[in-house]
Amino acid sequence: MTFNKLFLIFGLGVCGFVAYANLNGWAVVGGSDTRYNRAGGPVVRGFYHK
Amino acid sequence: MAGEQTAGPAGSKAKVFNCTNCGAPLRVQALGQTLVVACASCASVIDAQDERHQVLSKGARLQAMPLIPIGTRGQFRGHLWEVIGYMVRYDKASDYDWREYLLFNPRQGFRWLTEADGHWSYVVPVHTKGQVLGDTATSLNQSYKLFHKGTAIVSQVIGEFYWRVKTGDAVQVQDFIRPPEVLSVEKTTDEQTWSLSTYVEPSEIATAFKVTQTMPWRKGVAPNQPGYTPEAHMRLWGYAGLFFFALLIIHLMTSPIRGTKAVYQYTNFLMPGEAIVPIVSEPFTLVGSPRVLSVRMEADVDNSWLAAELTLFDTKTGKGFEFEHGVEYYRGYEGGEHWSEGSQVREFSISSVPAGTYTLTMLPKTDTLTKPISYTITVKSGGVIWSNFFLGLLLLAVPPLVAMWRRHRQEKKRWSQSDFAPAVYQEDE
Repeated sequence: MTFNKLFLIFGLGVCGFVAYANLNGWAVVGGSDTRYNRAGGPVVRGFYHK
Repeated sequence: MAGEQTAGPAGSKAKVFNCTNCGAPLRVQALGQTLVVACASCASVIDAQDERHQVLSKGARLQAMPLIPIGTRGQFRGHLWEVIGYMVRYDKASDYDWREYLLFNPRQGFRWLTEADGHWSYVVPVHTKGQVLGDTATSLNQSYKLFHKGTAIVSQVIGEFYWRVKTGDAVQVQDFIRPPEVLSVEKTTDEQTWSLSTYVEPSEIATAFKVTQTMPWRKGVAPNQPGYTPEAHMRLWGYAGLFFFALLIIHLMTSPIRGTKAVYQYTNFLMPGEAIVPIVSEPFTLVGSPRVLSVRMEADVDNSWLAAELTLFDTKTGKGFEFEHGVEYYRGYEGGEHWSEGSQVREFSISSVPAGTYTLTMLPKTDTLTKPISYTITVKSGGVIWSNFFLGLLLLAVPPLVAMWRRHRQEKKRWSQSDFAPAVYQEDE
């Protein structure tokens, strides 16, 4: 398969990926940052059951 | 066995006779067209047309036998060919050499296969003379760029040839390239011969002629070795441009129609001497598809900081998302100049928060307070995630940039062997 054909497939994948991320409210870059706790060490991220 | 005729490929007859010098058997396949036969055993060049088969010249014995032996037949490019001649030539100025195989088919005539540094080409005579203007040659409405100019000298020869070749023969050669093709012109005092070479993959040669030995390794980039053509490169950038517009449309169509919406806001003060206690917000509801939630903290910190341990708690499922957020701002004077660092405003994003009813628990933290700090925490929902769009743009730009770099590198390698390299591909001094 030529490079150009591969790029067409790749481009469709990128557009599909961006559409998927937007529809799911997913900020791929910069969403859910981690901030270091001032007391030391990273804050535990992610959902958990209380 | 002078002058015996034997069967050759369909439609042809071969003639067999002994070398006049050493007695080794010689065979002429292209009867009526072959003028000389070079003996592989003693390197004598024998007159093939004269029945006395006189020795016309003597050359040096072959240092290495041809990869495709004389007499080998192969189905190549739609026809059956026989290798009837083999020649080694070198460039007078650089001593760079290459090998040429003369192919014969009774109906198609003569063709050549050439091999240099492991790169192969299929050579076809061009009967229409090309036009040379400066560094460009034109033939059959195609333009070719000058790649090489020099003198090609025959160093070794075996088999039969349709002209009176001998070792030491020299011709002025000019090669013009348009990968995968080379347009060549060879000039002597009497005539000018044009030919067109097309790059061939070694595997095709090996398959066609059933070469059992290892094919020579390819070194460097051949003058006519196909690469990423300018046309294919332009098409790639065209595709990238189309994808850019498609990405923009898809991004806008899949983003929330309304902008961000504030779903919760809390303002308070931290007073010196007062204990800091956790604050639990009123419940707020998110509806619809998952979205980005942004939490904005503003505080009038001045040479201090304020952080908060925050938990976004789903009241229905019992799930919680814990994170920390903070602002810090410092300023002063140094050497008479004002400086500042940090910000009194920070924003934090949480991705893919599903619909539901949530509360936000906040526990502010800071150094020992000397003066009150007011702070506001705002929770906003939705909004267009532009970072996704720019990430998509960046990803789409990578392949064309990589292709551009690879093409430049290949062309630079190609033209490194030429004295006529375009300025952009010349070696850095």
